[in-house]
Amino acid sequence: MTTQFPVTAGDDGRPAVDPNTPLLEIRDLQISFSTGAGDVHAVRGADLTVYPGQSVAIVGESGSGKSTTAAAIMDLLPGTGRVTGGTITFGGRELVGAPRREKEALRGREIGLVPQDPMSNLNPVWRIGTQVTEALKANGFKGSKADLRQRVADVLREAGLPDAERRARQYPHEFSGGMRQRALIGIGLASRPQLLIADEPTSALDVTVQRQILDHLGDMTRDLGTAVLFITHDLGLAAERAEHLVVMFKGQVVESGPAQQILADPQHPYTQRLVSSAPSLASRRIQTAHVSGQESAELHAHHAGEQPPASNEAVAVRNLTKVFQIRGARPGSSTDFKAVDDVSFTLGRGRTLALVGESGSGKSTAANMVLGLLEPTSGTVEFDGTDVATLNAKQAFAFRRRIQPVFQNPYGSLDPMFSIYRSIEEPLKLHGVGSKKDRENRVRELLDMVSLPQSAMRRFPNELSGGQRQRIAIARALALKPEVVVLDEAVSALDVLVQAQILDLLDTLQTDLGLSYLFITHDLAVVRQIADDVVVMQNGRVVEQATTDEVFDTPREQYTRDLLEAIPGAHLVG
Amino acid sequence: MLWYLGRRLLQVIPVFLGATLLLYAMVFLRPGDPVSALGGERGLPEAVQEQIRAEYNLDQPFIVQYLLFLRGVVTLDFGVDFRGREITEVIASAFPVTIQLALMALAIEAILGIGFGLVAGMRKGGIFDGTALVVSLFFIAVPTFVVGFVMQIVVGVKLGWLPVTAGRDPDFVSLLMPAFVLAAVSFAYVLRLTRTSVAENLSADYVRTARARGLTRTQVTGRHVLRNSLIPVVTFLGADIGALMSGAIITEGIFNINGVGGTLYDAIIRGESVTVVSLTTVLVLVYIAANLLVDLLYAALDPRIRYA
Repeated sequence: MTTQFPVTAGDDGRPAVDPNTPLLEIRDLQISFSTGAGDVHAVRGADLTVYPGQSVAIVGESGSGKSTTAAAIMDLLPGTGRVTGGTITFGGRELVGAPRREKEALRGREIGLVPQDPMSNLNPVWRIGTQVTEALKANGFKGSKADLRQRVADVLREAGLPDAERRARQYPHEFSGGMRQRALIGIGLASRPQLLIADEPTSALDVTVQRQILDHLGDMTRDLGTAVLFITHDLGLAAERAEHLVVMFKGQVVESGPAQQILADPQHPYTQRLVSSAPSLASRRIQTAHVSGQESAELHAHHAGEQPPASNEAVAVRNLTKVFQIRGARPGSSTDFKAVDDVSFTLGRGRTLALVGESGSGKSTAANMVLGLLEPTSGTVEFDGTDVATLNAKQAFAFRRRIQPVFQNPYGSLDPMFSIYRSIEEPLKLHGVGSKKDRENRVRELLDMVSLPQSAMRRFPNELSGGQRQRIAIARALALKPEVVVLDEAVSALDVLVQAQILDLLDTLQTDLGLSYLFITHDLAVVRQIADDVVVMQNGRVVEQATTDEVFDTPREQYTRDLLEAIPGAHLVG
Repeated sequence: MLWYLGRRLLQVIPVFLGATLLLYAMVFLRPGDPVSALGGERGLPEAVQEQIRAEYNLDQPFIVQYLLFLRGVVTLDFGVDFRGREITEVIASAFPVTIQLALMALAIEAILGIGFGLVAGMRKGGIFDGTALVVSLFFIAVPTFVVGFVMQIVVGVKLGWLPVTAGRDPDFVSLLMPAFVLAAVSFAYVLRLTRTSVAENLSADYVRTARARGLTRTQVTGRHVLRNSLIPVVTFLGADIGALMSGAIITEGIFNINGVGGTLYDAIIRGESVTVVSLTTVLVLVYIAANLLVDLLYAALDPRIRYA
């Protein structure tokens, strides 16, 4: 152990650490949630062992029971959840059925938590320093006010926040996502726990930030000798950050072993699928007759009638700029903020263009201008050779039929009060397409296209999974037979396996219907699977623009290289 | 912050002008002639009526009357009412008791509403929660005067715990029962609002994270659940100050209190436009002040809100 992170709050009569005795041992854990319709068994016989100082990752998709297992260790099961069987032993003590006070004493002091979403896990009404202070006080910090203040600053400094004294006096909303997660890591490790549970600690952050945070977390826990239990859906990340992997599927542990071994030689069919579809490990563009896709695009355009396309450009964006005015403290003291700065790109017919960047890069603002949802400050968006800004109201309405969006959050983009049928039918109705009978046939056809049973029509969004909802959103976008689909982080909210299915679906649809995709994403791993061309954006500007293979094989700009470096598990495939 | 305060205070001017003009017009358009009604059954001689009209400027066109009223506001001299009392004096005698009543009601609904609401929210779905919901529904559904009369009979007459009516110059004890009656409906709303807010905050991520940090249940409740839950409740309470003062009219009637309610009622019956508009204008100003207070309190409770 180095002296970089001094152990100051740890030596209060804890059992001596023996590296060969398990720190945490879970045997045959059963967890159920009681619902109106009976009990739901979220975890069914999970086994898990963590040795002192070891790093273990539980990998699984949403609903696999990985987070529930982690919550049970700290007795933080939400709602009606309860442990119905099995044992959780920590440092030789049995936790299932232990008195509340005993478990409260354990939290923070011996088991720390780094939660998933830094935006919602700090109380917005208390200063960062106050929230660190209460963690220290709750776990037996004794000392003067000045000592406490000093220790709070140390905690934040260790977590990698510069200027810690000043930062401690700020509120969470004055911190960026990455800074908040650093503060949460600081709080989690403040009392030097022996085990740190990191529940998807970086899934809400940009890739480059994600990498820095994980590096720092790794350094800190290594130096302090803290065991870490990662919970993640990302196999690449798990393999890169943990020595030992535990794969969970539908509430059961299906496979566990050393990370490299599981990656190289997965035994269980689920793990095999997971390894083969992990986007960070996959390498090439999905190639389901992609070339013929472009041919059919030309055919499609011909059949669509009217006149043959003037060019092979579906959308051409030239010198697009968007300036927002930010209101200042005094009247009249507003400042300009350039969200999109002189951006040009072209989306070829039947091709996929990926707009890549981190949050704040202006990629979504650019997409909204392409969709005609936002007025550009200057520059033009040309659709099929016509400047969109010159269209009158009637033409603009017609233009909207030809370019349709699919948004990130399938939970938010479908009206919960609309049946699936009504959701898909709505655009048809709005544009006065066909009779009622025609529209119903079209909805059936669309459901077939996105591989959903026609019986789904009568159901409501809350009855469907995230992947199914995203299929509905795609069906709705395709209802009006658009030529261009703007996919704004359309697969980011989905589990890897579902994500792979949706990407396959998008590729098939592109081939069959000759669609052009404008694909907005922060995830370069996904870009490699779906895009033909890439535009990398940073701070509103285009930093690099090339074909996908060029960007991945010979990136020109440092920023692009940073992004590529930051893909978890990138180096594992070499 | 100062910019914000200044802007908010400037907003008072148009609100004041609009409200008074509207009020004045409504009283002016009221059917019947207040002066000819002064003499009762027999009526006053025409010459006397003319003289009274001239004295109170009632013979002037509407807009002139209104401008004369505005001059009165600026010089703080509203003139006298039909009975010869200075209107400033009428205001000064009516408001203190109503303000006391409203503040007592506010304290009752805040303390009881937040207290019961917190317990109900923490034990959502339990027996206490169910009872609290039914009781609050009862208070919302039953009209104020029913609650008032029932309390008068039970608490005042049968049990004899509190005075039945308040009367002239009431003390704290005799205002207790009216304050409870006045607070009843708002108490029910505060309870429900707190309950929902607490129940929602309990499942917030930062509450779970606070527990994970090792805080005890009491610490988590006090520091993380309650403060965050109070934000919407405070908004309601602030807006309620004004509603309590104007809502006191019924309660004051039941308990025979000489507050704003009674005075205003008399003035409306007699058609004394200057008295009506003056009293109501003070109520409008109370509303504006209460809302400003809420907004400032809001910023104190929630640091994300910064006024600029």
